[in-house]
Amino acid sequence: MNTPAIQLSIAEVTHLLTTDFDSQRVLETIVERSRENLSGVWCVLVVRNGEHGYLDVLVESANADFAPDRTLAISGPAALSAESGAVVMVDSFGDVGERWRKFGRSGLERGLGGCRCFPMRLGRKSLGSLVVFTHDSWDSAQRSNAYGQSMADLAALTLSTDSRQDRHSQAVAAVKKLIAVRGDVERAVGMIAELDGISIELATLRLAENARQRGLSAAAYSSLLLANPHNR
Amino acid sequence: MNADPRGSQDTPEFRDESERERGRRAAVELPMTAKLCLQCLKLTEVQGAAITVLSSASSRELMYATDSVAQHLDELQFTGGDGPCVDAFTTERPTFCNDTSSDSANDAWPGFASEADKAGVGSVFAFPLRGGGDVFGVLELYRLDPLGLDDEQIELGTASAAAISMAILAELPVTGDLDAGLLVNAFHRPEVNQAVGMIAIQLRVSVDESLSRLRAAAYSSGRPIWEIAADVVNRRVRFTLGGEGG
Repeated sequence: MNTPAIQLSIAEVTHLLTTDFDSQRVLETIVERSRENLSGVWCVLVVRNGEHGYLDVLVESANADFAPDRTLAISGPAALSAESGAVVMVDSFGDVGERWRKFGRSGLERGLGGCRCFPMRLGRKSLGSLVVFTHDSWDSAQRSNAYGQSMADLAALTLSTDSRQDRHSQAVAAVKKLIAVRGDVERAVGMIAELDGISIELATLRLAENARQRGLSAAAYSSLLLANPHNR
Repeated sequence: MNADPRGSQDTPEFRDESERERGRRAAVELPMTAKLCLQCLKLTEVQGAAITVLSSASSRELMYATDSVAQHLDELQFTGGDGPCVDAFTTERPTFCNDTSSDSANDAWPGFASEADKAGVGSVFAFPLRGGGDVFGVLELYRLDPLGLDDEQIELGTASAAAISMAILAELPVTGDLDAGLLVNAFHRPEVNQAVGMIAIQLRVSVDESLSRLRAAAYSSGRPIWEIAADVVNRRVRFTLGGEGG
């Protein structure tokens, strides 16, 4: 399911991330759009607070006539999703196994029918979960799991990124330097291999040794060599 | 390269196991970046994509490619030194080639357009990747059909480039000893730079001139630049003042 509304909401959030954004505003947009596009009554973003098993509610969006019980968002499936970094699905609170029986009963008492918990991950680290609660069972309407996970991914990016231009500038400068340095070092290795008639592997070792003897970094020594190959 | 991918709208696969392995490793090294890239394919309805990071127009690294066609398009532009990706980086603006067989495309990119057309690619779209106000890479999309992006797809491509910029800056290991140049990525081919160094000594020229000679050898032979480079590094080929020799 890839409706224009879904596509545009993803574009809206990513556009916000290109601006000098306010993290809170972006996260509020994420939970609101997720609730709307997944036909939920309540969407909540929970984050791990550093202690095993404990979660904090960061932002939420609820239907006007719905009063959230936040204990549902920081326990049960949401806690499992945030801790494990896995999607946790409870399609129908009225038809759950033993594991979620108590949780399901609490959800039904509060007028909820089902939920999906989409993990917020960055690399191997789990930051929390984006949890969407529905009035009826989850599969009673068309709801895109891929969309929910995309919004959780964008929330993870928002949380992990500082919007200040100078932080991005530093990261970009570092990336460019790495590319340039690696290129210089590899070209210098090629020069040494050709000048000394040795293999690339031996030339790599020789470059490192020559740099060390001169008290230079590999990058600095390579720059000298590229400027004057016989200056080794 | 697949014999004739035109007519098939399926995303082409990598050619062989070693390329598939590179693709898998890149997806593991940059999981969020890879995921956003694949999402971008669906949103913009293109067949494939590649992400390249550049420190200059001639110093670049392919960080991720969805398939061998995307990888080939990137290598074409590195070999020829021209193409939408190069222009998107230097002009800092999205650059589109809506029909690789058109006269305008061949005028703009004489080295790239015809080779892309031969490879079965109909159109190519390049979006700059930005961070801190600086362009540091390009998101490159392609279609097998010569069909431009509509306004909504351009908007989605631009938004995808913004998200991918943030993801790749978050996922690249840019801490530590930058002077060691220890960035490792799945698609990197060290033999290209190593060969440039060797050729510079063989011909007694600058590294810039050496790169030009390597590019010319790849272009005239119709072989990928990294294959010629591997021949140089493994001493199967030596560049002499009279021309490339054995």
